Amino acid sequence: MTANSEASTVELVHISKYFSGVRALEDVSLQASAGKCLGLVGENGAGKSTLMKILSGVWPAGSFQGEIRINGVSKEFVGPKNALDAGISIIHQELSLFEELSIAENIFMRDLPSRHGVVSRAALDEQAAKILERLQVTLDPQEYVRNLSVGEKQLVEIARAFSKPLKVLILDEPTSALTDQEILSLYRLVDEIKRQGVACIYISHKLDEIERLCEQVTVLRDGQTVAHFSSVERTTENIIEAMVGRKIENVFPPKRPFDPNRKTLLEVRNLSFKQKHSTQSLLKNVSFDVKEGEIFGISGLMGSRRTELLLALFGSLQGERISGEIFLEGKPISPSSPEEAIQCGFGLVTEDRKVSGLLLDRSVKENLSLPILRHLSKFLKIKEKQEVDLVEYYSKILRIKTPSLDTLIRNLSGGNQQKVIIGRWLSSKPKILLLDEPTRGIDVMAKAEIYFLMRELVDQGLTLILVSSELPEVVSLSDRVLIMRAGSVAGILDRDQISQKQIMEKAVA
Amino acid sequence: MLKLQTSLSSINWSRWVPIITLLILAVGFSLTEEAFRSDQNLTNLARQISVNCILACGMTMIILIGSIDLSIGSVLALGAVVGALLQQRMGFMNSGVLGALASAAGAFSVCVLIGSFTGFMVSRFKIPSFVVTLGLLVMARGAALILTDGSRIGPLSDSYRWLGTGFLSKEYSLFLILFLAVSLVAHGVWKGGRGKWLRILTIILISGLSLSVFYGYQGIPVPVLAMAAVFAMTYFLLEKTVFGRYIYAIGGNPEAARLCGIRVPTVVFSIYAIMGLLIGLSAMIESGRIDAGDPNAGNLYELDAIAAVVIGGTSLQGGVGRVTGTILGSILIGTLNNGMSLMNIETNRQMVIKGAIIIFAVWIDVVSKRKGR
Repeated sequence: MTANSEASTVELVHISKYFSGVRALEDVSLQASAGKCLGLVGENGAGKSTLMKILSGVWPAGSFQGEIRINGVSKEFVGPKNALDAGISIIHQELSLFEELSIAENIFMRDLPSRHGVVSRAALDEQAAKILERLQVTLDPQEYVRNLSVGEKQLVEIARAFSKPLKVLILDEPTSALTDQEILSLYRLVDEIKRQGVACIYISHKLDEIERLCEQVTVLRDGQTVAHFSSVERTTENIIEAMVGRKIENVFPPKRPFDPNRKTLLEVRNLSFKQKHSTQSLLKNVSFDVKEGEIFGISGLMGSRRTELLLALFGSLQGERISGEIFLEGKPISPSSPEEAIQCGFGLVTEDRKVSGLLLDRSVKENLSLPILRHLSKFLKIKEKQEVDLVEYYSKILRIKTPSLDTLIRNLSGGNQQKVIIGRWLSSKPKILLLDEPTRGIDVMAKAEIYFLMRELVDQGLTLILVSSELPEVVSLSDRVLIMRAGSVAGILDRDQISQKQIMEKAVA
Repeated sequence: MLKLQTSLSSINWSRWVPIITLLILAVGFSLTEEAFRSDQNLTNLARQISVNCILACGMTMIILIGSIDLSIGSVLALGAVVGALLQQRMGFMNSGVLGALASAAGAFSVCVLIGSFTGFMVSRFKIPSFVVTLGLLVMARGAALILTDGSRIGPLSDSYRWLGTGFLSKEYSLFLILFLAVSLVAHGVWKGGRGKWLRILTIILISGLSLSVFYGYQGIPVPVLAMAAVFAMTYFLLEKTVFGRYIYAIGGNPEAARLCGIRVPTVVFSIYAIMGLLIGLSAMIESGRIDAGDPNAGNLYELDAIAAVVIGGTSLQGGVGRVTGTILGSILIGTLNNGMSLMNIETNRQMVIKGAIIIFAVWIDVVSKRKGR
């Protein structure tokens, strides 16, 4: 490999990494050359971010097997600072700028030009201006970052990497929050950076971006390199095939017959939302209907506003409704708070249990009974017997494994925590349960249990709307799938049309 | 041996820190100062802590939802002043019980109104409670001083002072304590559950102690009755009601609470209104005790209340803590004050020691909790 490497090449050679015995990466090799852009693609959990954490020194030398080479010389990083000093910089998906400081201060935060500890503003602004000019970014270095748009912040974040000599720039899903216009200026910037002899590694789900920017593409799947394409041989189709080519293990319940002529339960017509105090739209003319007893999948890329759609149904999307109607069992409804949505018959299992689902310091019982509690009291007092009976009932049918119902929920495994949350909503007897990434962060066995549970629930007549980033999940469980792209509906697939390839093609088109 | 070790380490030590500290203090003072263990002094001690206890009960709820109230001392002064002014200037002083009730209504209204205002600003406009109540801390004190030109307003009628100075007669006290003790023990035996005998033993010990102290002196002071009632209601609210669960839910994870259909602003508002009510009660007790509406009353009471809550093991982040801990914290602070005064430690030194003990108690608590995780 080193034989044909050019100047300023970074190589990852035979990298393997295990997390407490579980394989994250196995024998992965890749190479990024100066002035070129390497696209790194793969599904969630394929190992992309672990690999980049190794390259940027977050996982120190010794915590993995394999070698990092720069210009053929083997390097060992003890921490992120070593990697930075070696000229490797990573731009994360979430921006990490200081809103209340100027652009110039942000760019040089790691190493402010100063004399006796006093920052010299003139030198600071001058050097920042130089970097911005070099990158052909027209921003005033004295402007405060809080006044910038998301796209401009992204540019500053990238400019920051140039405060020190830069060899490798890693961009992790840089466009997920950008508008089309901003994406174009990002493309121009990446072109400019390549021209200056920096090696870029570009991580993205969006294959059109990869197409536009990258000379080479490496595909990861399940922690292994499954394919490497140079510009000549690759097509979007064979990249997708390489990404999802895994055969689905037996963790899913078998497919079931589904009668498409069932009664319609939920109807959404032309639902549009925009951000408050801004013209940016969140949802654009979303229309679909959900049949009774169906698992209705919603798929789409990161940032395609799947979660926003669920929140809109649940009356808690932070934004302004422009148009649209929602009908439940034929009756128009317009939930404007979670409380109203629950009364209408919705339940919501949120994307991040720890942030918006669990009361970590309370018991299993208290976590489970929260939404139903108001119906369980008499003269203010909670009917304790009834509460315990109810919680016992749901923990039994959901097979929640816990030492007791008074155990703090933080002591349960992720899968059991998730079951408590599902139980919470089942107890309030919803008509439709909205599930946002219901299996995130739980192990395979627990995942399978949740999948079978979902099937049991719909067989008993409950209707589920499932949002998931994991394609196999959507494909194997859904009776129909809606694909979102940038806040609007990119397509709805019927039962016999559902495949990972179909979904991907619609999502990235 | 291993078993003993694990069972020792599985005990939640942090819960016992205030109790053990309190026991050490109480035993220490009893041994060194004979005056400490007299029935008269213990009755006094109970009366001294009543105001702090009442305020700390309200503060527990506020801290549980992750908020704070810095204004309670000043609002107490304003309430006391308004009540006293009604007594003096409106002539309610001479119209007996009815006049006392009217003045009390004035004092309570002011406090509840200010509490509601705080609750409204915090829940509706999302202004940090620290800021709202910091502003009110200054404003209410200023208003109390303006209304009185900086002087005490007194004297007050005897019926108005009843909440602060009254006693329940010895016979009634005996009857009340026995009645409560028997019914609580019966309830404990009937209901059972984990730690049943420890709970029953505690009830018997506490009622025995209070019986001997209060019966040995003049009966139960009215402020102590008020304190017990407030504690019982707060306990019931937090442990047994939907409202209490919502308080813990909001403190633990406001977003999750909201998504479970809880009206977070309503709960927050109600808690501040309840706090206002408790401040009103404290204002009555305080002005009854000193026989005047003092615009300088209640100075730093908010800090004593917060200290009691924190010593009692409630987390300032919200969501974790119990009102039983708060009561212990409050008794601990009161015992410390009382004992040190009896030992003739001068006031300035008392302050230094008290502050150090607060930090120490919470430090132990934090350390033992960290081990528990």
